[in-house]
Amino acid sequence: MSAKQNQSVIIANDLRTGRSVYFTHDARWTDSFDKAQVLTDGQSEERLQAALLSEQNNLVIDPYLIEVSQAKSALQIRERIRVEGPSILKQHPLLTQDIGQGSRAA
Amino acid sequence: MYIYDDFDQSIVEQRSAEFRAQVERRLAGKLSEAEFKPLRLMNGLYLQLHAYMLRVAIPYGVLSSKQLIKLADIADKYDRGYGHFTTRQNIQFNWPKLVETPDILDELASVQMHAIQTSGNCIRNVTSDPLAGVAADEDIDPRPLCELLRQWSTLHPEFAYLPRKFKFAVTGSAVDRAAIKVHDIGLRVKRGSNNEIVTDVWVGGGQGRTPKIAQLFKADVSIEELVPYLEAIMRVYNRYGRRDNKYKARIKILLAETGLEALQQQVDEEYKKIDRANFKFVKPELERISAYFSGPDYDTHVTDNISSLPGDAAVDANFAAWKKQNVKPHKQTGYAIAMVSLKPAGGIPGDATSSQMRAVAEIAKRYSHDELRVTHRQNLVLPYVHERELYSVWKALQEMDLAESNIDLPSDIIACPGLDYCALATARSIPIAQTVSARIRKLEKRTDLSGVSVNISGCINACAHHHVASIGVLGLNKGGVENYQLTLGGRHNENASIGERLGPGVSGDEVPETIERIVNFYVDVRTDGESLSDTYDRVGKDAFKEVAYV
Repeated sequence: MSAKQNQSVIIANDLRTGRSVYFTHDARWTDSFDKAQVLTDGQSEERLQAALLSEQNNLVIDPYLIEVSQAKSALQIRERIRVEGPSILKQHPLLTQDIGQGSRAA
Repeated sequence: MYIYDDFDQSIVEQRSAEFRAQVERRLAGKLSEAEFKPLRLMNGLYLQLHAYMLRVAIPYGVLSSKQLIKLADIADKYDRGYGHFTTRQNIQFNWPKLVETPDILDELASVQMHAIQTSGNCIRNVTSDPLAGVAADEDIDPRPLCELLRQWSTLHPEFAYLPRKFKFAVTGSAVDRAAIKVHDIGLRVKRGSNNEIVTDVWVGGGQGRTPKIAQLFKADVSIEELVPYLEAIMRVYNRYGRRDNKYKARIKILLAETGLEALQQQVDEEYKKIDRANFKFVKPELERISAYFSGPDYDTHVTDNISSLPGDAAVDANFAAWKKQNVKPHKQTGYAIAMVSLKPAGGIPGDATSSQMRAVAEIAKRYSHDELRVTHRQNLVLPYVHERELYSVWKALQEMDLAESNIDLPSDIIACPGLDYCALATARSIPIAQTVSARIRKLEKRTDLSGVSVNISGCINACAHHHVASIGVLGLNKGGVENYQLTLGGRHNENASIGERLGPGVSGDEVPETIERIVNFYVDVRTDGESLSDTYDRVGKDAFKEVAYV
């Protein structure tokens, strides 16, 4: 049985709002992490090149690959916070559910 | 407080219009991100982990009620209903949209505010003693000089592209509440031997990855000489400050590499070349500015203020605790300075909701001559409260959860936004601050901990001033896991010192307990009046290390 491949998702900031957005299988950007395309090692470089075109077209800023687990969860804490929103979300009276993980359910 | 003249107003309005055009060009694709980034940073607009962040300048921390209400309105209309007060006495909004930022700048300009030079390699917002002009122990009110420096440094054509950012702090008291010795330039304004106003110029302080205490660069500089002398320092730094390595680009490194005497000589030579005729404006302008800071019409008729408090004030233990901890002596008999803590136990340091901002603004309007201050410890100040109104002020603050009695106690934690918001951070600082403050607040109620401060930074840039806390916490990323180094022995006052690293880092979960052990040990071994840093100097690192790591 072959070893599991590394998986990744392309993340960027939306130019107009600054919010975290993710690259989809049909080369669009979504604020829903659930809808992000999961890439294997073989695909990631080619898809990143496609995502970088969006930067040239002034849709997003700084697209890059983040590693995700087999269950599609960001592996690094920095990226997990980017995806899920501030870790203080639940205790903050004013940070509503449309930030971070809330958008997964949207 | 200072009121803009037509020239000041035209600067902020023109800058706002200019930025609007730049944003339109960016959205239309006529500017790339590489071209646009320095332009947005010049207007305080960063791109952070989740969104843009706008940093708004509050010059030397002075704010009117009207301005604070405008900030609350901006928080509601363009952000998420709150703002974060920072260690540069500024406020940050964490969720603005690029497309709406020009509108925010217009709104700010309508109340004489802006975000100019809150980022970039330029002279940043000049900070000062938050009790300036009202402190009982003050020699000279530093606010006129701060305003003069604000005007001099705003859009100064020579200093728009320095090797690195540059920070000034000014105090007019022997007790330093502005941390002047950890700034690129710290100014101590005082009376000279002939009772004239003079300034000691301290250079080369700073925190970050190479913390340094400033050195006395030139003493007793006359007010006429000061601005050209500062210009000479800035020119020498601009010329010789390193541009090859951003970590070695601050003036503290130039001072360390050049040596004090050699750098003083270079500045003196530059000073001689400066045409002093260009600075004839300084004295009359300072006089013009000073008129704005003459202070309110104090009510000097009441002599027995304490007995004029309502009857229940005398028996209210919570009010007594707040008064003891949060009220500071005023220079004017019958008046007091009321500090408003933005550090509720378990809360987010420096955050205020729009409702809280409006409430404090209304309290200031009613009880503090329409004026407030922001402190570099991320709290607010009501500078002109009559003693007989203190109880009413406290009651009003209490209604808005703003009456925590912990100013200058360890639960008055300075914390940066950390990895929850900041793109530069390596670890979270807010959740650590929340847990530590909730825990240590209980200790504070049992024993006097006024000799302890806790500052928590989420990366080596040290925005939360962890180097100069008696207990500093630095969040790092070690192999993908957050790890927290502790430093002990720092001081942010006139006896400023850099804390020493205690030993190996600990996990986030271990930070509160470790701090509690350190504090308990200090309480056990301290002598009368000794701060934690004094005790640390006396008993040494090993003794603290032994209790910290079990």
